[in-house]
Amino acid sequence: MDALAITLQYVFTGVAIGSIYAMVGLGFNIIYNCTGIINFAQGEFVMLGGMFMVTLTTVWKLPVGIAFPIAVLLVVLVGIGFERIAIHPLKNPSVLVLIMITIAGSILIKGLAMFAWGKEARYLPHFSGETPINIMGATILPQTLWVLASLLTVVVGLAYFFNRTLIGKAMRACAHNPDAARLVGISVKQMVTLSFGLSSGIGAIAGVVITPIILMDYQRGAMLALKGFGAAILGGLGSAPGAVLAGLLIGILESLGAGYISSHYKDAIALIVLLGVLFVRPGGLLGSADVQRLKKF
Amino acid sequence: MKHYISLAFFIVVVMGLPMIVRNPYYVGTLVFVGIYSLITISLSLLLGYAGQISLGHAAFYGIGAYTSGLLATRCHLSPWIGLVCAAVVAGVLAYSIGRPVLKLRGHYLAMATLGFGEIVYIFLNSTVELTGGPSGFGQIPRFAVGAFSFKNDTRFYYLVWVTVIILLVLVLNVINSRIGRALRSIHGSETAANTMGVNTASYKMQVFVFSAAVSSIAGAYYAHYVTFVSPATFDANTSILLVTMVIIGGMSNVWGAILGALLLGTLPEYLRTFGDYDILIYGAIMLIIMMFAPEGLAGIAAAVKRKFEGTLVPRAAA
Amino acid sequence: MLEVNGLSKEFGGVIAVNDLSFRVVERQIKSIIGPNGAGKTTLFNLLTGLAPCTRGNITFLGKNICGLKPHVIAELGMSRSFQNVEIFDNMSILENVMLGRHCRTGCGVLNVALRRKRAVEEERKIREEALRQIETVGLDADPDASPASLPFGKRRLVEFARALATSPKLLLLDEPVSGLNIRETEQVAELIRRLRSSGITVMLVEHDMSVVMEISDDVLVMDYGTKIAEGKPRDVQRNEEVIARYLGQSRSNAESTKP
Repeated sequence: MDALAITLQYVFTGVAIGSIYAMVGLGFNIIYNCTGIINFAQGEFVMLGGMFMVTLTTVWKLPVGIAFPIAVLLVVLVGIGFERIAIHPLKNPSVLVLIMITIAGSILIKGLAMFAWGKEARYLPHFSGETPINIMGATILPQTLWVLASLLTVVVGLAYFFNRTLIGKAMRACAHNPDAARLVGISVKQMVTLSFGLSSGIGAIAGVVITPIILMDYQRGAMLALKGFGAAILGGLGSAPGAVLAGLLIGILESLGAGYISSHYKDAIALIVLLGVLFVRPGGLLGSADVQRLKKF
Repeated sequence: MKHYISLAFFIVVVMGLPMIVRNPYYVGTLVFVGIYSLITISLSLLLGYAGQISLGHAAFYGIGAYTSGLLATRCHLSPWIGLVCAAVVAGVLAYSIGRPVLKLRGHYLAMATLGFGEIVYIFLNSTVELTGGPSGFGQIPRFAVGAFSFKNDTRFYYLVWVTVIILLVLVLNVINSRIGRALRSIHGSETAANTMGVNTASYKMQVFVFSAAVSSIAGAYYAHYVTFVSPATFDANTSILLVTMVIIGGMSNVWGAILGALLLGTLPEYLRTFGDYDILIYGAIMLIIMMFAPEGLAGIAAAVKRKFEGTLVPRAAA
Repeated sequence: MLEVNGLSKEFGGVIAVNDLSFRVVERQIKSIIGPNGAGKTTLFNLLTGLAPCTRGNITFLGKNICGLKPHVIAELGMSRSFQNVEIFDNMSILENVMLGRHCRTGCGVLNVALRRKRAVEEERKIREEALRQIETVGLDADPDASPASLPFGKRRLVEFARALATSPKLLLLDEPVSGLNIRETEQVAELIRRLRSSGITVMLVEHDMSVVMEISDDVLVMDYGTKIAEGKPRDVQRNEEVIARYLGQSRSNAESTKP
């Protein structure tokens, strides 16, 4: 393989994992827009999606087409349940309390996952075989196409949901001005629950499609969450197109860094990007440097 | 005055405890509680008083352990010198990242410190030639004064807890002073604090650097007590554990910080029968405390006290 | 004592304060009035350094204070209260007021951590001074209680006491009587006059015209960030532009409050 092909290969790998960061970032955004909460348990939804899929396909022997939606649905139930039990009853919680509650939620989910699936990494067969497709000297796994297709579906689906459906518009209204939304009869509390359901669903989709490539274990969520948050911040917190672009960018950077510098520091690259953005441009690359928004906390 | 009575009582209990608890294993557990207490006391200044969250303090703890451990094993420096170096290294690092980090608030601050901690963790894992990578390194010498070595658990217990008491006295003095009020005012409202003449940026930095240095000293104690270090001890879970200790005890209360360290530091002992699944119980406890008593155990105690007084006073009046 | 020259402030294209110039002389009570959104609170934020000014300069006691940090300006002798009362509920009433002494005291971390004699002595003085200010504002409440449960009027007094504890030369009060009942309003007006006679210069933003006209030596009327009139209360009240743009619309309210 020549240098170009090698680089291209790294880019393909990066795009696959970057799509996952993008989806995690989208999940952060949905909850953040609706509630102002950063959900530290976001990565756990991804992990759960992968784990449910493993059980449904390998233990219950369900075909991918049926297991996929069931796995997503199960995680959505977990997300909604978490919001209903731990966040819904709170009255005027402080930012610190919210941070610690979502962290506690992530620890609890992690613990339950370890209880249910053990400590070993779980394997999931590729959906459409493992015969690589050759593109300009580099190869791409069919599973990567699944990942990209999922990202595309999620993006198109969200765009449709927020712009065309009544519920989606209602959610946007409460993100914009909760008091006004309440006045026109939108139940803000229900929208918060819905936002948790939606973002856990997106996390689950990411988890289902990436598991064949990276394997899944109960501890995987934390790092995915950190990097997904990096994507959300880099793209400008609250901006969906920003999160997608930034997620892909972080994935590619990480993959190039792992290839050309050292795989040890693969994870550090994404984190340094995250810190750099926080320090220099907390508004993100695409978002307007909305300092006022930061001051809300 | 009230503080001195509590303090005297505390000193008596701490000093007397090894005479009751004779099992070296339990003494060892209490040594860890002491090490945690050093960190949680300093962290409660940062979190409960100045209102700045840090989810990366395990990094400073780790930096202390590695700095002192490496200086002792590679350069054959005395652990005491290593201890001072550890505090300086962590302090300088905290100062240099503190400038950009402390401008952030709330969720951003939490994520930034979490990311910082994770970077240090990756660094400790990756520098295999220097630190032994994921498997760490051992044969770290113990503290000694002349021929007197802090080699058994009881001796080390006194070393750690005397340090805790010294720190506690200093911190209690500070929080009941103009500086303690300045820190609390930052938590209350940074704007109002500023216009009342409090240099908030400078105080946030000072308390951040201080807590980093103290955590680093705790790390050095850890290294020279266990005589072996590996990165796993200093990961994000430890950072979260430390913050949880502070919050469970009641974050704007230094005594609460020690209580939190005691409860969560000994919790694994009670949960031994659950084996690996202690993480479940730990998560559940954390969730319940945050939901129903975000002021922590000190908050519950204060509420009970208020209620008690509330029922007593009218009766006395009648 | 305070001189403002050509002061302007823009927030992303919106001009909140536009080319404003005025002077405050020592031992004066100067009121800023104007409709909501006229830029009065923004002006206070600029003076106290909470927001950087876009253009112009502010001279306080002969020193240009534009661009200085709020805590430095506080040290120079300017203190303020806030429209919605920003006191610290995580401290007792006494501690709130004691915080005001912060910029007038200087014991460092080491001194207080080791409880050196100097620190103990200083702490005692801080406490005395704070208690004195609580008395000055006429707050009757247990100083060791939390201010969280106090009624609004008393919270405001805590804030005044805290501002006074900084030993200010110039005191900025942002709507000091809004939300207070008639008796409390009189109490505050009386307090402001007493402060002036003790040598403190006072600037206030206020909507209650009866208070403004009664206690001010000088009134500045703002609208859309610019000065539309300045002078003695009596003259301002007769100024046609002021009546047309501001007083006219509130006259009915102002008259209805008078017996």
